[in-house]
Amino acid sequence: MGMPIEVIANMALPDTRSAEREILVSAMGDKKTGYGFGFMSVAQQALAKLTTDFRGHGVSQHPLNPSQVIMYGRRPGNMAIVADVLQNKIVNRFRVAKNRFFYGHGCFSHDGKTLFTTEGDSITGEGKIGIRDSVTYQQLGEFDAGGIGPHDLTIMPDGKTLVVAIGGILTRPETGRKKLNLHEMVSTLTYIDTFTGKKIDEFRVPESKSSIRHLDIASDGTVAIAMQIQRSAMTHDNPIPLGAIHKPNEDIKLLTEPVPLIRAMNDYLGSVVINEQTRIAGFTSPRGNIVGFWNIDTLEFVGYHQMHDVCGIAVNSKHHFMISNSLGEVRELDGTTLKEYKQRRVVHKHSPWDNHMLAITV
Amino acid sequence: MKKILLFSLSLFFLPVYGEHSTVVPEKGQAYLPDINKVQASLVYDHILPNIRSFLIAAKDLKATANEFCHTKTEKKLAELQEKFKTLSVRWHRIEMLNFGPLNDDIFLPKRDAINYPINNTSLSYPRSFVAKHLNATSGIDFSSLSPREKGLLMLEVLLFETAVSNDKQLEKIVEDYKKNLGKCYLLKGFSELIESDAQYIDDGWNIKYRQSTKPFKDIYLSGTLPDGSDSLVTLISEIQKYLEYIKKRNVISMTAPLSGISYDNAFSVINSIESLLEGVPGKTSFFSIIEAAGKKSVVDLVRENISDAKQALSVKDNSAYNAAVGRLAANFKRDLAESLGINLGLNFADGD
Repeated sequence: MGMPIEVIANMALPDTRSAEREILVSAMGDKKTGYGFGFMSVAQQALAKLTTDFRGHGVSQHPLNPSQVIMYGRRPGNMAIVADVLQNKIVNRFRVAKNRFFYGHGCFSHDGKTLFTTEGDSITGEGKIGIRDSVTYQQLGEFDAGGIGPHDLTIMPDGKTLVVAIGGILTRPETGRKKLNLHEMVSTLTYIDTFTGKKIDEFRVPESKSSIRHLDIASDGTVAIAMQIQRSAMTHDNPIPLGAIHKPNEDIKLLTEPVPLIRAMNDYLGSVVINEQTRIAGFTSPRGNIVGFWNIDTLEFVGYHQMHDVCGIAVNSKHHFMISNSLGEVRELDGTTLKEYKQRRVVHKHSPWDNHMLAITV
Repeated sequence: MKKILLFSLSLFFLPVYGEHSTVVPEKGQAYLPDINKVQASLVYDHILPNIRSFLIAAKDLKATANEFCHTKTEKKLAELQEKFKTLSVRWHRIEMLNFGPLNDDIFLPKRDAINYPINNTSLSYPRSFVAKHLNATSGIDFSSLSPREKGLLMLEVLLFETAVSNDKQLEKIVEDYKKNLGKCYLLKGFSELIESDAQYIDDGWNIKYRQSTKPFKDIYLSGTLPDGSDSLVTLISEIQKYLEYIKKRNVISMTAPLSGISYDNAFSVINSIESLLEGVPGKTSFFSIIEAAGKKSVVDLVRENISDAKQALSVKDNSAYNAAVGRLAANFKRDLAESLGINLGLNFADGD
């Protein structure tokens, strides 16, 4: 690509020739250690990091090139990279168009030919969905996201509908991450037809200061939603549910219990993942140092796990939950009992895992 | 073999966060063996004495409540109200230590059991509970009640107003107690509960922490807490979270609605944080090691924000107080954490 690519050599690279090629991928690093893209072989527990000149956020596996992972720049980002975990290098990168910025997440169409990214208009503040060719990463177009602050998104099982977490919070590149509209914010779960770009439907939660920020989807179209409460714009301290489930043709259902656990999550969920096999969704709260687990069909609370600064969460090929934190730690929890396999705990200190983690098999 | 070798290599290069004795400080960071001295002083000179003084206040309140229920005089009620104020002010010196015995049960942490539930309708719960049990003389399991029906707010409702009509005069409150036998049952029950919670916290820090064989003070000073987190990181991040909490919730206008001591409580918070950072004369403190590391500007900045918070409280300027508290929260999140060479957590401090 004609640009310096540094592979951090302070750790052994994942042995990607192994038969067990399951790899955890995530944005990694901080100001002190430098930002980058981290990936760790689950079998070998060895870690590598490709340095980048920006802080990443969400990651997506390329459906047509499974060894390639896209890492999107964190809000308000202007860059994304394509890393190849078999080649241990960054193989491509792309920028936002003029007057656009990334919110940090993206997803592929079912056929893998198109990439959708959540973006903002830096002039008007409107939310946009960027559309790119998945080979050249040339922008093909865009459509309105249906609100301010589109953050996470994914494609529905029908292959033609996007579900977008519209956070509702206005930020602008010139004011960084400052929240500019808390009193008027409108957060929605919005469904968009990818063929026409038209909004099909939108759903809200009762608390207007709940910002719907992250989501994951099951193969039957059940969406698990993770929210963040803008408490400074509220006048009470009542605990507000932070997780919710949305099923097709139904209203959003909040995960209202247990209240003490919700309170301990400190108004903030960082990530969510659905375990298809066990129908359990895990929601991480780095501000509460807790992962909470709920059944996505019965909405019953099924357990929790405490871990300092936990945020990244993924489901591996054994249907276990993998969770990470900024102290470089990865833990594996049974997908049903939620008990930790303590002997598999991995710590790579000075390698802070950032907000989101994905388990891929290559 | 290869697997072992790879893992060994990665271990070889592992830098250290929590194991203080092996870390060489970077320029502008406090020297870590000194942090261990500061932590010891913090525990023995600040945390344990304040937890003990809260326990003593709880015992005093319970004893005085029993005396009041025996005599039911205005004088004794006034004394009881003062005991309550002392208890509340002392609670606010330790409330920010939301780890260990204050928060060792995710579903019923002691902190929530004692603390004010802050929301617009919070008075309605203890008021309804009292009104419903005016004639009760037995049968209530006080410890199993929800946090909004016990703790400091419940005691306020029992001590500073009459049931149902909510009159505030001493004379009427005493009459209310004479008229309704259940009120003394409730007062004794809730006083005993808060004493029991205070004893639990004191025992946990001093004698034995949960299933462990050690007191929490030893666990804390070992540097690593039971969940694997670093004790200093936990201390700084919990205080930071607490400061953000009181700023976001506008706590001043929402707490102590009947006793009228919300400013005293707030002063207690700020004084406690100041004392925690300044330490005791002649001993190494957080401020002294940060200054010694060449970061006097950080110490000056934090002192200025503490002073601003106190000034705002002295003139009852809530917005200036919230602003100062917000700046203090930022000091804990960045300036103090960096000066102490600790990582509060990327996701905690700067998520999205």
